[in-house]
Amino acid sequence: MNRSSSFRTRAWLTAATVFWLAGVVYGIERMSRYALTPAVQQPLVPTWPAISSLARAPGRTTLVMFVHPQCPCTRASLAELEQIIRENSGTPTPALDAFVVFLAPSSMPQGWAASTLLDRVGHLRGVSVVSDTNGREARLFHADVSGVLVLYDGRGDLMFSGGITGSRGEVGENDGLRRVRALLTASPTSPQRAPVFGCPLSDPAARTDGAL
Amino acid sequence: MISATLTNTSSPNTTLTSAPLTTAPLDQRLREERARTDRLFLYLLIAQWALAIAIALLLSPYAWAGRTRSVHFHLQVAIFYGALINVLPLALIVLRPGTPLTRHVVAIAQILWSALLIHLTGGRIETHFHIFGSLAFLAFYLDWRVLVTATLMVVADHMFRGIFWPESVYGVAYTDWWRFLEHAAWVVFEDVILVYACLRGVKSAAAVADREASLAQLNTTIESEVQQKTAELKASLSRFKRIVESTNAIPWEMHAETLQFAYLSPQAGRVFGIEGPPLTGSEVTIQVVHPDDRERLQTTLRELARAPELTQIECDYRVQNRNQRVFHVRSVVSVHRDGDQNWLRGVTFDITKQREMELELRQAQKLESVGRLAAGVAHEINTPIQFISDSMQFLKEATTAFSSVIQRYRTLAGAVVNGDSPAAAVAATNATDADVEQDIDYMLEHAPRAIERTLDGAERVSVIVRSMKEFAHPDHKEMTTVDLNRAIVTTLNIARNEYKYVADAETDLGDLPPVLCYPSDINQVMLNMIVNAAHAIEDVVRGTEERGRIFIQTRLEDAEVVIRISDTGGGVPPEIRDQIFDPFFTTKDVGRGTGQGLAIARSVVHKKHHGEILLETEMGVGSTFIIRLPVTPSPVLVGALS
Repeated sequence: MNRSSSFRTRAWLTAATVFWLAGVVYGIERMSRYALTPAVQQPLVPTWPAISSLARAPGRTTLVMFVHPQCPCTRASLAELEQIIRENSGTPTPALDAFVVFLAPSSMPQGWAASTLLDRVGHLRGVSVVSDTNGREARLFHADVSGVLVLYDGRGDLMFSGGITGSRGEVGENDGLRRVRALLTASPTSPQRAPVFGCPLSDPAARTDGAL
Repeated sequence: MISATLTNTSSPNTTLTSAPLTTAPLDQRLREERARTDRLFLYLLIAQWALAIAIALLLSPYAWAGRTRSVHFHLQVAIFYGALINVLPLALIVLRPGTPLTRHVVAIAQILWSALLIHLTGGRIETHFHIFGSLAFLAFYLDWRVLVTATLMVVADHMFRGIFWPESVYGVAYTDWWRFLEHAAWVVFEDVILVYACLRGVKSAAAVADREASLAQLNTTIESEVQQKTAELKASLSRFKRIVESTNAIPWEMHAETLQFAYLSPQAGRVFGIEGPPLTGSEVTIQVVHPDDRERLQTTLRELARAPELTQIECDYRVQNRNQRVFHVRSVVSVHRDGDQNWLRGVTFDITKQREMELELRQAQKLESVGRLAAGVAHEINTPIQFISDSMQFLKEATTAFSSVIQRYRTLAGAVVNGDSPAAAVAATNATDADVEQDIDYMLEHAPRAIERTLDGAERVSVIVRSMKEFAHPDHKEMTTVDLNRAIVTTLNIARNEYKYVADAETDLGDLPPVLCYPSDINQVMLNMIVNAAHAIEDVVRGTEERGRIFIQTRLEDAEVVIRISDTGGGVPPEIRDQIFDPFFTTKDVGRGTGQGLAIARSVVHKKHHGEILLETEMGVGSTFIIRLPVTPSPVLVGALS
């Protein structure tokens, strides 16, 4: 192999490596952007909606998480919820009622909502699983995204609204989780928010008009 | 490490010169090992890609928006970003295996796979073990620099993700900035072990390479010597081949079972002018052997193939080329065993000229015998012819006398018939006178004896002529059955003149079956024996009134005919007993013998009839030649005798 041929080979190899590295860095950037971009949240619902079919017990803190039964990202949210429930059930006087509201569009075939997420929640003690036909309850609580958790105090005032994962589909200590934990032991001065990561609960076309 | 270069491989005196220590064998070995590891990573990278797609399909196949679903970003990442991660390392593995760039790119790709798999499994802390597994795998390269690259990649990944996306790597949204150092420390901890393993691996590879270099050097030396020896062997083989193939002797080898040539020296074509396809591989009797000898030769060789190893025979037969030219050949054949395979190996000679000379010599010897016998036979015939002549002369005269007297008596008879008394008286007187005058009584007395002598003489002549005819029996080309007793009597008849003045011949002939032999040759042997006996006796009785005795006895013993020819000569001195059968050896005076008699007798008995001829002798008493002939020669014998 002569010198010019060797040089050309080196040049090609260098160019290929550089392009390759640029490609993989770009890929990392895309992945991180996907994982770290939270959903846009609607305005807060400061008091418990009176027309909600969920039975809130006065004087008890009520936690509601809205879940899309097929959303892979919500697996992490449920994992964090399990942790909260488990921690709370260990206290001497548990004063938390928890609902997990599963989206159940009436137009979808029967069994569509029967997912691993539903199975997972079904095993949690002290959690009520509620089927939300056509997303009515979600709309009452302005929950647009799977994984949205709202927390109301005993008077029905909003304490927290947002997600309890730090990024999309990933478990681990995060801001939302930490705030919920704190709120369960101390009363807040004002409603708090946290970013939420998950699948939209409504169809893309219906999101603007509020229908499913 | 010991290394050497071979500076001269072409010279027989190969020199090995010590060279500076070189790492070429180690480099080569490491390059091969790293290329093998590249191939391992080729499969691993593809497997990881498939795993990533499988994880994405299992955990997050779709992204949902209400009732609408779309392919999940994770699945797209697994397929396309996984392909992007693999494309460069796979290309380098295929195109440039074993090179540093390839393994460093592989190291980066492997850490990227760790990051991607962690991401796809939702940041599970257990998936971090993939990093440690990858480092261990990368250690297969036996290159600590690759571990450094991988480690730097891990550190960079943790550092940047720790800053911008800590959940994906630490499982918490908030952590200390130096957390990546803790992770890096564990990686470095493993690196220390793996670097040590790499260095040990390289050391071990160096030791192996060193041994391989030594072995290669040794191998080169041995190869050189083998080449040298092979060249010498080839030269020797070539020389040997030239020697063997420049002679007229034709060595060959054939399979004993199939009788097919495994080797036939090329001079077969030259000597015999045999053309056509190579004879090697063909069956021996197919093309070259004279049709009349094929079956016999085949039988002979098959018999030999079953004989014990190293059994050797001589086998004479004829070879015929395409021009119908016939050669007499002699093969000396022996049987050999190599493992389970039996081989017949032999050398074939063209003995056509020898045969012709033998024939001429035998003919000359026969002519010599005939010439020697001619005088005696003439004398033997002359004596009866003489007295036949005398008797016939007498009978002629008697017939004239009888005619004259009978004429007178007829005249007398006519006169008596006619009644002419006077004439009858005269005629009677004349007849009586003539009877007396012609001595008719004498004639009548001796004429029958003369006739008997004539007949006896004629019979004696007839016997001699018949004996000569039988003795001079035309040569039979094939063996035929012969009455040996009759042959002995015949030979005694024609040789009578050789011994009758010095000896008396006596025979004691037992009952013999017909013997398969060549009659002309056996007659010649008997004649030579009788003439030798007569000469031996003559040497003893010369100048005396004594007569010797030739005694011939025949007996059948087992399957052999035994002929004993004894004489009362002076015996054979001990010092020449081993030489008497040698050609041209004679103790007789010049002109009395050529020294061929006993040599030919032995040749005929031994070679042509596979019998034996022995001598018993005692000085001053006489000698006895004992000839033993098999009644029926065996097939092998026939082959050997032909």
